[in-house]
Amino acid sequence: MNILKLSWRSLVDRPLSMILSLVLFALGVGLVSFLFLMERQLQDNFEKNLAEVDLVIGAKGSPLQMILSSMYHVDAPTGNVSLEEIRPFLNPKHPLIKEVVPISVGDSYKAYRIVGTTPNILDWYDAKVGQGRQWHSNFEVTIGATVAKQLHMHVGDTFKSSHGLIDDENLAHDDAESFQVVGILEPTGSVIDQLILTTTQSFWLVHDHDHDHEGEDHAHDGDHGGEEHDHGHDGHSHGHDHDHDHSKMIDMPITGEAPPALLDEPGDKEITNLLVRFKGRNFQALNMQRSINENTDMQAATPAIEINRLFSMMDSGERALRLLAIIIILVSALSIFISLYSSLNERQYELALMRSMGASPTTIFSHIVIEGLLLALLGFVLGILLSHVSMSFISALVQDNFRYSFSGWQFLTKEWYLLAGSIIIGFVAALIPAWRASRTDIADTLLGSR
Amino acid sequence: MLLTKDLTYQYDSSTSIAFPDLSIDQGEHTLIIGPSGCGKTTLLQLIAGLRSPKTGSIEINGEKIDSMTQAKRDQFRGQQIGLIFQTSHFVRALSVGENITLAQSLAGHSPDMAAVEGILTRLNIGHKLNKKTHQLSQGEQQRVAIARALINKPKVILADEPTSALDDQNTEEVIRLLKEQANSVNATLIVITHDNRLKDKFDKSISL
Repeated sequence: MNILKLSWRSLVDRPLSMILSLVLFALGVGLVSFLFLMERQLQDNFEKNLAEVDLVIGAKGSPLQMILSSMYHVDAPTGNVSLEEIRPFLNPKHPLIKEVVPISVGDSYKAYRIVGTTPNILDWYDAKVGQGRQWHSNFEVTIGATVAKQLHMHVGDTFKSSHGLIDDENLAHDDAESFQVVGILEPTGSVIDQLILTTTQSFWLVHDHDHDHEGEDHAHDGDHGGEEHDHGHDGHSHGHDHDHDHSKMIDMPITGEAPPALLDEPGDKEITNLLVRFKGRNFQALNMQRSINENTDMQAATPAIEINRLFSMMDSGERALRLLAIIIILVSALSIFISLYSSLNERQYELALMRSMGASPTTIFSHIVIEGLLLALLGFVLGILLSHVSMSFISALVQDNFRYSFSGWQFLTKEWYLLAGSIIIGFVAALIPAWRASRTDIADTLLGSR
Repeated sequence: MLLTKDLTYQYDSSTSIAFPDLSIDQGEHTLIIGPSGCGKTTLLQLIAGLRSPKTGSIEINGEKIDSMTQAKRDQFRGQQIGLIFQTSHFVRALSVGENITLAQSLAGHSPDMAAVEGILTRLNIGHKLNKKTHQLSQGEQQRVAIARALINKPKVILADEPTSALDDQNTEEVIRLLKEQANSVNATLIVITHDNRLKDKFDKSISL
């Protein structure tokens, strides 16, 4: 019967006050750890998706909204810009610009965004084609790993896009040509996992075809694995059609022609945004941003700055939550203190008894302190479990709504500090009760038992 | 051998008490009897080293209790003295067996379950080993207290009113067991009481 075991037994002998202290402590620790996790994961996600983009150009509006929609694909776009306006920046001979990626958004398939762009976007996000190949001609798509997994899509499948960014059957481009999956990307952990990539020109064609009814004749065959299947002609239209010839799944020969470079397209065509990488971040580059904002009908925004702005906005909310967490932890420390202190009254005989059986004041002191530490440790473990379990639940939710991969089972260095803090709190809360217990006057206490 | 000499104790500035000198041989059974408030318990606590005398000395087996440091005295008490109180106190959270092994641990010995079971069996409460102490009757609790006082084979057993909460039958039984167990480890047994039922059960008695 060592002191540790004795302390533990004394704790579980008073389950109600132990549970109260534990729950409070776990809530406090859980909230702090949850905030740590949230902050870390948001930052990770935002930073992973920065993709060294120096500037985003698009229609005037909220710069943050433009960044969110063009790079993170969470908000609606601010509008489109014409090729006429954007053409100067498409020129490969531009003195400041190293490389650009055009982004056209606005259509989706089952709530996954279709992005009209150029294949160099894959390099920007370090994405590699896992199956099939990258898109080459119009109406070919290469899809992100998450899209493929969630929608059970395979190379060779075809589908019809839908107007808007939400899953709404009524907005389907019924009469437009079907897209065909020619490749699936390997998982990257970045936003590209959640996208359906195609040519910019496909976007224009889809909307043109809304006017002249033609061109959507595709082979449709059998239903696939319990998924709803609506074919192009029967009213609903964005069910995707699977080709079950597995040999065909990987091998998608290039048949069509690649569309011409955007630079050579007519000026009345539109794209949504242009992502820009500079040759160097210098004064002229900064000037270029200001000049776009002042002299054109477009706006330019720096992702890093906008994301920092977003973080600082979230920070005030986070500060309030952190304060709340600290208050809960303090209350739980108080509850440990009260629970231990009030237990001394009913335990004074047993403490005096232990002293009479040879326990030194130091032993009694440790006995009570260990109770405080056990409560704090247990509360910490419960709190960490609480935050990570809820994080993994939330991550499932967030993934559906915001296209981000959160993980509940990532542990942070900061949590070690939280452990140290918990131990200190448990110790401090137990200090006064332990001191009082160690000073129990054996003779008087035992006399008082009469 | 237990010797006290010129013992006095100061309760507060105006009240003090002097005790007669004691000389008790090893293994001897002694009853100290006196009315309530005569300082019996104080004497017992002085012998146990739970209080410090104003003057005088206490010697157990040649070791002077009164001149020991606090830590040494705690350790000495744990190893050499078995204490039994009027109402028995236990660590509430622990079972009967664990309360007794706690006495072993606190005295610096390693827990010996076989010894614990053995002594409980000798006291006819072997089947209560895993019960919580508050589930036991008064008589049973006092037996557990005896077992706890004896488990470290002390040189001296000090019992403070061990029978005052018990009926005649249990009193008889507890005293018999106390004497029997004290004999089995050759411990000096000192029982203090105001309970006249015990008078004729001890060969040697001292009145305060």
